[in-house]
Amino acid sequence: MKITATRVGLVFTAFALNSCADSEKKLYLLEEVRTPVLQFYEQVETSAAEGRRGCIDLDVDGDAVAEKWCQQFPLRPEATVLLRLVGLSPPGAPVSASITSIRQFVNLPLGTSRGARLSAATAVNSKEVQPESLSLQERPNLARTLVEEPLRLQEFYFTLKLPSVDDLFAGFEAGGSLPGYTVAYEATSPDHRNDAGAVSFFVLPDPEKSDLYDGLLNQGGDARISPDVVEQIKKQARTNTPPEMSEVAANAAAARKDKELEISFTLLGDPDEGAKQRVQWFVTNGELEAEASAKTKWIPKKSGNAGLIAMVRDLQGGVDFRFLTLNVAP
Amino acid sequence: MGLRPLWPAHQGGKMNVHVLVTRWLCAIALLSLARPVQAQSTDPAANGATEGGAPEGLAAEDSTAEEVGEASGAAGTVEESTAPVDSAASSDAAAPAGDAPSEPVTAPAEEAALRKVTGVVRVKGTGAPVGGALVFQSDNKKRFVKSSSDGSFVLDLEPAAAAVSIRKPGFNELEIQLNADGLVTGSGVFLERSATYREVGIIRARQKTEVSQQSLERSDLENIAGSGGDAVRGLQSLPSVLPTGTFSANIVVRGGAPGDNQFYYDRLRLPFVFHLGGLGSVVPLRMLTGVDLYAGGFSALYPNATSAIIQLKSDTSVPERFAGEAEVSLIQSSVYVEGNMFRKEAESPETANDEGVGYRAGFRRSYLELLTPLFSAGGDGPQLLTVPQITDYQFVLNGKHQRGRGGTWQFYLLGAADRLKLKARTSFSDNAEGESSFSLFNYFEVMGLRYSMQIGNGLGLTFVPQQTLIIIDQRFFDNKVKVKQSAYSLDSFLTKNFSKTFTAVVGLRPEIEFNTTDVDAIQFPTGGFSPFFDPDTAPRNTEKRKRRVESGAAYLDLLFEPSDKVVLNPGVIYQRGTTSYQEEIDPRVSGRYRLTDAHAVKAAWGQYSQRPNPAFDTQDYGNPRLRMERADHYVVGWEYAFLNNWSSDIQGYYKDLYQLVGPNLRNPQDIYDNNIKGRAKGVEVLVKKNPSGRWDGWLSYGYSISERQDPLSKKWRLSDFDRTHAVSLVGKYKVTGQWTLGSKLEYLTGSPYTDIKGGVYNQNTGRYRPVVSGELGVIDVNDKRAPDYLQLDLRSDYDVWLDTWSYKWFIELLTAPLGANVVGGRWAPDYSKREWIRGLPVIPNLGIKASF
Repeated sequence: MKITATRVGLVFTAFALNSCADSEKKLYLLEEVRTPVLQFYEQVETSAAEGRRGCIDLDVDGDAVAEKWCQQFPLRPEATVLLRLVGLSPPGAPVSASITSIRQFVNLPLGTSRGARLSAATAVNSKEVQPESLSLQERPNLARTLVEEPLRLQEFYFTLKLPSVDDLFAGFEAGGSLPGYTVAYEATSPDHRNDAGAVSFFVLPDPEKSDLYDGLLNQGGDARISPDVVEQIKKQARTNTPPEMSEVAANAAAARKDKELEISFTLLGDPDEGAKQRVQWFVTNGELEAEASAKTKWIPKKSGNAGLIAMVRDLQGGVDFRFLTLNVAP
Repeated sequence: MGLRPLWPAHQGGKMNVHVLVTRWLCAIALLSLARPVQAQSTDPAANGATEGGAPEGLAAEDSTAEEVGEASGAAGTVEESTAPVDSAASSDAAAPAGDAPSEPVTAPAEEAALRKVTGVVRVKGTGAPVGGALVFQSDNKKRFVKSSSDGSFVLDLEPAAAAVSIRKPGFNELEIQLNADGLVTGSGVFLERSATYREVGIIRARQKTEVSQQSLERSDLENIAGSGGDAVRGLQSLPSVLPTGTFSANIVVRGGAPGDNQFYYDRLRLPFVFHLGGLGSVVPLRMLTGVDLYAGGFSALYPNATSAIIQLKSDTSVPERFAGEAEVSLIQSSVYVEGNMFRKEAESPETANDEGVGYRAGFRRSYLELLTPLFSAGGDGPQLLTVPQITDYQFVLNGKHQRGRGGTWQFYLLGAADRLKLKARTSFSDNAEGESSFSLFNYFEVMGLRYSMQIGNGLGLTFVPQQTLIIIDQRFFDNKVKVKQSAYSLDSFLTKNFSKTFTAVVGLRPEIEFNTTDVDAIQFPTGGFSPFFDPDTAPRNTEKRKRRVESGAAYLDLLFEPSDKVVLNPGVIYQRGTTSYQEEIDPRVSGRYRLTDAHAVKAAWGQYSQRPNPAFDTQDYGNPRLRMERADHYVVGWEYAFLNNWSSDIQGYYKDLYQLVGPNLRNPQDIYDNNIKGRAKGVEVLVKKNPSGRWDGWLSYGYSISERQDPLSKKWRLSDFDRTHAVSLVGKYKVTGQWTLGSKLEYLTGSPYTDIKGGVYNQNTGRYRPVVSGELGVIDVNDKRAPDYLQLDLRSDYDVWLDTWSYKWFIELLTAPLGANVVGGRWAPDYSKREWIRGLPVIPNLGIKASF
C-alpha cells in the first residue's frame, strides 16, 4: 500500500478513518499509456563522452556511424539537442507520440533547479508567447520499439534547436529574468487513455564561457541585467551530472504468483551535489510495497511473463531507467 | 418571583409508563455500575412518589447556585435539649410552603421533651456543603430549620419524631430515619442532584452585549454529543459556525477563514486556540464558565479580527473549597484542581469579605503515540514512528481587595505544546529510500494579569499586561520553518459611567514583538494547499533574521441606553500593524430596540481590519508592503423569547471582504499582494430551549453563500469553506439525576472543490499536474461539491456518586445514519478520477472522569 499526501495528512487528524482501504488508482500498474522518461542529449566527441554519465550511441544522421550522445542539463544557447521520449504501454498497444505545443514564459524566477524546472506557482506572472527562435523537429527514423512483451517500450526522438543569447534577452524587462520554455506532447494508443506530458526548462549559457556572461552584462547597454542576476544565472548554469542506476536485481527463480519478491537497484555514484532523487517503478501486474524506493517488494498477481521498469530522476533534468522481464511461476 | 413546582406533577403513588421506561434504562446502566447505598433517597421525578402530605414547594429565596462553604461537620447527631430551635441557624429559614408558618414554632410545654438534631448537609458526590437546605421533621413540617452556608443545621424534634426530611431545589428530597442514637445517616447527610433542571432560564438568559452574540455555558457545552467536551467544538452547533474539517475543532464563521477569528481568554488574546490539526482546544472546558461567540458586527473593543470573536470566559470567583477532577479517555488524560489560600476569617471589618486567593490549575496530555504499534503493525500500513502528542496546562490565580475603592485581579499562565514526528514511505519521496519525514513542534505560553480597580466617581480602570511566547519548529520534507516570538502587550482601558444611560470605554493596546525567524522553505500559497499547488516547482525562499515589530490599537466604545428599550453602541478603533502600510481606522455601531418584553430588533454595521498572516509580510519571505486585510459587516436581527424557557434569534448578514492576501500578479519578487476580494451573505436561525424540566437543547440553521473573487480572471468563486446549508439539532435529556443522554444531528452541504479534467505528466518532477477546463486563475475554481454530510452523535453520561467524590462514565457514538460520510477527497495520481475518503459508519469514544 502506498501513502499519498492526503493520507498522511489524515492519519494524524483522524486515525479512525478507513484510510487503509486502498482503492486508489495505482500509478505503478501499467494499464494505460505512460511516458515516464524524457531526456535531453547533446552530441559529444567520443573522448569527451568517457567518464560522463548518461551517454548513448545513436546513428542520428543515418550514415551507419554511431555518434556519442550524452545527457545534458542545463540546455545551452544555440545548441541543437536530441529529445528522447520513452513510452510504455500494455502489450499490443502501440503508441504514437507528437509534440502539441512549445511555449515561452517570460519574467520567471530562475529558481534553484539548474534550469530544469519552471515555477508553476508563479507562471501566472508570465506572458505566454510563441517562441521565435526555438524550433523542434521530429526524427521518426530514430523511433524504436525496444520491448513488445510483456509490455511495450518505445522510444521517440526529436531534435531541438535552442535560441541564442541574443534571442534569450530580446524580451528582457527591467527587474525580470530569463525566459523559460515548456514543450508539451501527447502519447496515444487506440483503446487506451492518452497520456499527456510536458517538460520545462531554461536555456542557460555555459558558465565556463565567460564571454557569454560578459555579453549578458552588456545586454541593453544600461545594465538592465544586474551583476547579481548574472551571478545567479552562472550558479545555476553549471552542467548537471545525471543519475545512473544499476540493472534491476531480482531473484527471478523465486518469482511466484502471490509471493513477495524483493526487487531493487542501486545508484551508481553520488547524486550530483546532493541533488534530490525520485524513484519510480512500473509493473505489469501485482502490488508494490513502495513505489518510490530503490528497494521494495513486489507481489505478482499473475503467472507468466511480467515486466518491471525502474527509473530515477534527479529533479535537475537527469533521468535514467532500467527494465527487467521475468517469468512468474504459478 | 413566583413559586414553581420543582418536579413534575406526577407525584401520586402510581408508577406510570414513563417511570417504567426510566427504571428499565436505569437498570441497564446499573448492571455494571455499582451504586453505593446510603440514607434513603427519594427522587420524586424519577419514581413519581413522595410521602403523603409533603410540602408542594419551597420559598423561592434561593434559585441560584447552591451555597457552598468550608465543611466542618460530620454525620448528624442527636442530643437531648430543652433549648428552643437555634435562632442563628433558623433566622433566615423559610417554612415549607402551604401550611407552614414563616417562623419555626416551639410550644413551651414541649420544650423539655425536644431532641436536638445536628448535622451537615452536603452534596453527594463532592462533599460540598449545602447552604439554604430546608431541614424539617418529616411528620411535622412546622419544625424546620435551614442549613447555614457551611451546610450545618441544628433542629429540635418532637420526641415522637421518626424521620427528618431535607429539601433543596435541584436535589432530590432526602428523608433520614431516626433511631435512639439519632439520625441514621451512615457517613453523613448527602443530597443527590435531582433529575430535573432548576428553573434557571431567566438567570441564564443574560443580556447580550453584542448584536451577533451567542453564548453557551459550560453546562451547555460539556455534554454536547460528538464534541468530546471540547469548548470550541461545541460552537460548531451554532448557526453559520462551520468546521474546517470533519474532525477539526477549528471553525470558520460567516464566510471567513479560520485565521480571521480572534480568541480571547477573558481579555487575554490567545495566539493559538487549537492543538495540532484542530484536534481540540488548548483551554479545557473545566477552566471555563462558558464561551461567547460574536459572529459579526462586534464592538470596537476587539481589534485585529475580520470575522468573529470567540470569548472564552474564566471563572472569576474564588473557589470555596478544594476540589478537582481527573479524566481518562482513549486518547488523553487530564487533571484539574481548584481551591483557595490565604483566606482570613472575619476578624475585622476590613477583612470581613476577604475571600483569599483562588487558584485553578489544569494539565492535559495525550498519549495517542502509545498506540503507534496499531498504526505500524504489518507491512501494508502507514509506517508512523510517532503520532501527535499534545500537552497543555493552565494556572490561574484570582482574588480581590477591599483597600481603596476595591479591585479584582486575575493572574494567568497558559501553555500548550504539540509534537509530531512522522516518517513514512511515500509516493512523493525525493530520496532513493522512498521515505518522507516531517516533524512539528508548536509551543506557546501566555502569561498575563487582569487587574480592575474602581477609581471613584463612576470611573474604573483595567490593566491587562500580557506576555506571549511562541515557538514553532517545523520540518517537513526539505522545508524548515523556525520561528520564535516574544510578544508583550498592555491592554488598558478606562470605563466611565457618566450616568445610568451613558457609559464610555477608552482603551489602548500597544504591543511589541521580538521575532527570530529561520525559514528555508518553498513559497506556500495564501489560500492553503490545493491540487494545483506543486511543491516541486514552487519557488523557494529563505529568511534568517531578527526583528522587532511594534503594533497596537486604540479604541473608544460608547454605550447609550436612553431608555429601557433602546441600546446604542457606537465606537471606533485605530489599528496599526507591523508597518506603516498597515494603518486603519474602523468605525462600528450597533443598536438594539426592545419592542416588547418578548421581542427585540437589532442591527450592526462596522469596518474590521486584521494583520496579514505574519509569514506574508516579512522582509524576505513575504511582502513588507502588505496592507491589512479588511471587512465590512452588516447585520440585522430579531430576538424573540417565548414560553418560559424558549428563545429564538434570527439574523441576516452581509460581509464585504477586501485587501485579502493573494499571490502577487504585478511583481513576482514581492510574492504576495492584497488583491483578493470576498463577499458573504446569509441568514441564521437559532431556537433554544434553556435547561428546564428534564431537557434542554437547540436547533440552529444557517444559510450562507461565501465567495472570493479571483484576481486574475475576476470571476467570483465559492470560498473553500462555503456550505450553503448547515443544520444542527442538539438535545440533552436527564433520565435520572445521574444519567444524561445527549444527541446531536448535524447536516452540512458538501464542501466545494475544483473539478479536474485530467493530468499532465510533469517530466521535471515525475508527477502529474492537474488540468482544469476553463480558466483556473490563482484561487480554486470550486465548481463542484462533495456529497452532503449527515451525522448523528449520541452520548451517555452516567454519574456514580460516592459520598465526597464521584466518577462519571461517558460513551459517545459518532454515527452516519445514511452511510459513512465523506470526510475528504483525493485524486488518482494521474488525476483520471476522484475518490472520496469516507469515515467509519460508527466511531466510539469512551472515558471516565472522577471529581471531588
